[in-house]
Amino acid sequence: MSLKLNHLSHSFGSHRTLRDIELAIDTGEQVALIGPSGCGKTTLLRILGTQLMPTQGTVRQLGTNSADLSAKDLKTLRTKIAFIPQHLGLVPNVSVLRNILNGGLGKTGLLSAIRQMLYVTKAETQRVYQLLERTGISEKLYDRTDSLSGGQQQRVAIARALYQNPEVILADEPTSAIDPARARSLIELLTQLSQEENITLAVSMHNLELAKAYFPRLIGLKEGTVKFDTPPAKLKAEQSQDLYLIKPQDHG
Amino acid sequence: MGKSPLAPLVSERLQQTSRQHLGKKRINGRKITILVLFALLAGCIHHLGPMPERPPGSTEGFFKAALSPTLTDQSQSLPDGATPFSNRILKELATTLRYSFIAMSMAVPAGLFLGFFASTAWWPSGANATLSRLLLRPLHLAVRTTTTLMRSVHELIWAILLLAALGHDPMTACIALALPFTGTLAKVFSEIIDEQIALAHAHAITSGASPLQAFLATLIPQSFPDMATYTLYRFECSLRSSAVLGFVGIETIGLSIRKSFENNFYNELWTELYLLLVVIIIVDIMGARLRKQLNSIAPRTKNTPPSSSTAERIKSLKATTPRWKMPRILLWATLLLTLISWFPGALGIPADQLVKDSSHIDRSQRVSHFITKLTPQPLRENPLGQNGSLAETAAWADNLWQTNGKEALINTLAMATAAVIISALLAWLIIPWGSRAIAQRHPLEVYSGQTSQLTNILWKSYGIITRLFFILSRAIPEYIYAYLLIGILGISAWPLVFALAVHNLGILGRLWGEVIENQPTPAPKQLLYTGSSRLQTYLHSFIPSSFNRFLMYLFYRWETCVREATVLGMLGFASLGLHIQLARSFSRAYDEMLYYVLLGAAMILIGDLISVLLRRSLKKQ
Ligand SMILES: Nc1ncnc2c1ncn2[C@@H]1O[C@H](COP(=O)(O)OP(=O)(O)OP(=O)(O)O)[C@@H](O)[C@H]1O
Ligand SMILES: [Mg+2]
Repeated sequence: MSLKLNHLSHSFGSHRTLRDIELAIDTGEQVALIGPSGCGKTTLLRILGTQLMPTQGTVRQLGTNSADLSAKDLKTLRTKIAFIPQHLGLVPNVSVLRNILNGGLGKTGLLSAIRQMLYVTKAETQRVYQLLERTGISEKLYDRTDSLSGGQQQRVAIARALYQNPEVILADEPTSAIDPARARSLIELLTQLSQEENITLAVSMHNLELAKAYFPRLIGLKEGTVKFDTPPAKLKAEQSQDLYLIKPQDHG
Repeated sequence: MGKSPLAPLVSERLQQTSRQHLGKKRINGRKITILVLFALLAGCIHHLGPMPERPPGSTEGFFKAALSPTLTDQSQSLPDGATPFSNRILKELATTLRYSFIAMSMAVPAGLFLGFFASTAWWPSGANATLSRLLLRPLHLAVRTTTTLMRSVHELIWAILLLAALGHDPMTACIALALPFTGTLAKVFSEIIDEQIALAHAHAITSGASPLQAFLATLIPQSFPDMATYTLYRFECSLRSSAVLGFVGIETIGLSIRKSFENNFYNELWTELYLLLVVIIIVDIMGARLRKQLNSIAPRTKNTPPSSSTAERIKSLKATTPRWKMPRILLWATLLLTLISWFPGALGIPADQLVKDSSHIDRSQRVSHFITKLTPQPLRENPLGQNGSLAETAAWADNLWQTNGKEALINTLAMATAAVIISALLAWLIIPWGSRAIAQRHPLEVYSGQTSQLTNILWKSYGIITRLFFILSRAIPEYIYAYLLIGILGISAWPLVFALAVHNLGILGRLWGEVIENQPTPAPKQLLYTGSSRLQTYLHSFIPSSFNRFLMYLFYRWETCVREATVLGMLGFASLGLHIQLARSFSRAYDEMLYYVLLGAAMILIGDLISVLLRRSLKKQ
């Protein structure tokens, strides 16, 4: 089992974001998280990515309970989980190459971080180049990252995730800032990479059609609880309508 | 990145509406601020008294000479074999540059080192980092205190202290320059680092990097443009300070400026001023270009040729990806010039020795003698612990406070405050109109109908003239302005206030001009689209949206002006600087001198504290 949540609840102060969630995601599985704004998708992904700790219940990643880990083991676990945040977390004014190298920091020491500031080896550059070829933007290797379009920057973030050699990729709304055609090809890329490398993939998104087309498993979240967890073929129209229904007092 | 382009507009709207809600009953904070500024200015004017009648002598000669600078000696009675004027000033100019390179080459590494420990962005976070944060806090506090102390004393006063203690070596003067610069650089570096949006840093940590690794890989490159531009600005300041060191006898261009003025050799004087101006303006312009380049993307000029292998492809990508040239050239030029400044002999360039030969015993004797003389007189005669020695020292300090200290302190504060407010009021009148955004045919590139070519030319030249005025007014050090103005207007507080105000206006012109030019433009543009005039746009968009920022700059400049006013006082107005000068040169009462220096430093520390608190409350709004 790659990711497992047991009776998991979470709150920010008194604000409950997730309630009693039971979830298990197998190695290599591809899951789309859908649900209206504020339903807790980002929070759930951040818990899976060890960035937040649950308030109640347990979360297990790759067979370990991250709450029990020492600082060193937590670091090792984190190198195996690649998180692609909605804001991407790229350094804007350095080259694409440097941003991707940052994905490898967890596996090297302080000295090599210093060395990389001054000098990048041939092998490192080649590896980054190959990852950029897979994400389709190899010609941008040396460009300043903020000179790339939103969709291209998403691909840089994916390449940085791959540079980690991860067992899990968690992506938070990777398609929110790009046009429909590019969004489709980006999701295609993510699912394809996960299939080829047997990487567990969890993606949150708002585009239900796209989720249905590319993911074998859809999880619907609303007000912090799981409303459905089904393959797309079995998803009923009422279920998805219900998910996005707006109550008069609720505007996200 | 990934953010809606409308986001700033929307949030601005929200802020505006919320402010309108709040503002219904409250009196407008901006109006109060402006009223307070006027009241303060009136108070200062009242305190400093009127400007005295102009001394009889005419100043015509001085201004006439501006049009006829000379390259030959004006003195008729030079001994044979004396160095000709042109060689002399070139050598002094080179020395000015050399000392600021040496000072900066000490201040920048030291500032980086201390700045690192003064920042908190690299501290580990999370539950299991509590202990290390607990251990880091005292270190952080110690470094902050050290850097604040370093910059609370003006470089010229550091120079006076150190030259008296260590002897008249150029190296001592360089160290005196480097000390306050290290403090300032450390402070600004740490602020730049701590103010970065740390998303990339946080991401690196969640992918397993240590806080220190993440710091090096994300926050350092992110802060680099700001740090590099600020360093260049500091270098420009160090040139000015190095020139002013000439006034305490170091052989930089200030020395000639003083001598020429004293001898009424006005043509020589203008040559020296022009030379200094040119050098500083070049550095100023380079700074502006560097800032632009580091914050923007170089245009693509070359196409990448097709290639067969991956290695080859990587090579050709590296060769054809656009990159700005200037940062690299500047880096290498800096390294080279620093090397030459330290070891001119190695490259066969003749230059003065940094440390004059004198035996070590001599120096240590000198230092111990100096330290003895620094000790307050009652303590010297009556060492600590003996009965009555502390009470006597307190009486000694109180006596100094009653006779001169109090008045000097208040005068210094009044000069600085008056200068800051005058320059602020002028800034409101001039700066935005001169910005590239407004001073053109179609402000903010919003089409404003058919306008005559004349309007266009008038606006453009108005913009160029104001920007040129700002450059000129900040290029010459306050101290030199004050020195010349006292010669022209006679001794009173006002020449010093004007000198401070003019220089300060130039700096505000640059800082605030940058804010206005970097501001998101949708809001003012919207006003122009709906038919507002330039004046309306200025009053209803530029002023409100940059008001807090501008006040923050004012506080920051106020602190600098207080420090500077202390030093300007040395030119003869009853303020802290004058008493420092008198205690040093006439009575060699170093204990009294130290008393006034510490008084000034304490004032800066308090001012620093107030300004930090004020800025914090402004940021929260
Ligand atoms: N740091 C925080 N502190 C307090 N409350 C938070 C914080 N982050 C999120 N929340 C709240 O938690 C709830 C869930 O937020 P979350 O970001 O997980 O939603 P989401 O499903 O990702 O929404 P979206 O689709 O808009 O990204 C929201 O009500 C939000 O306001
Ligand atoms: Mg979200």
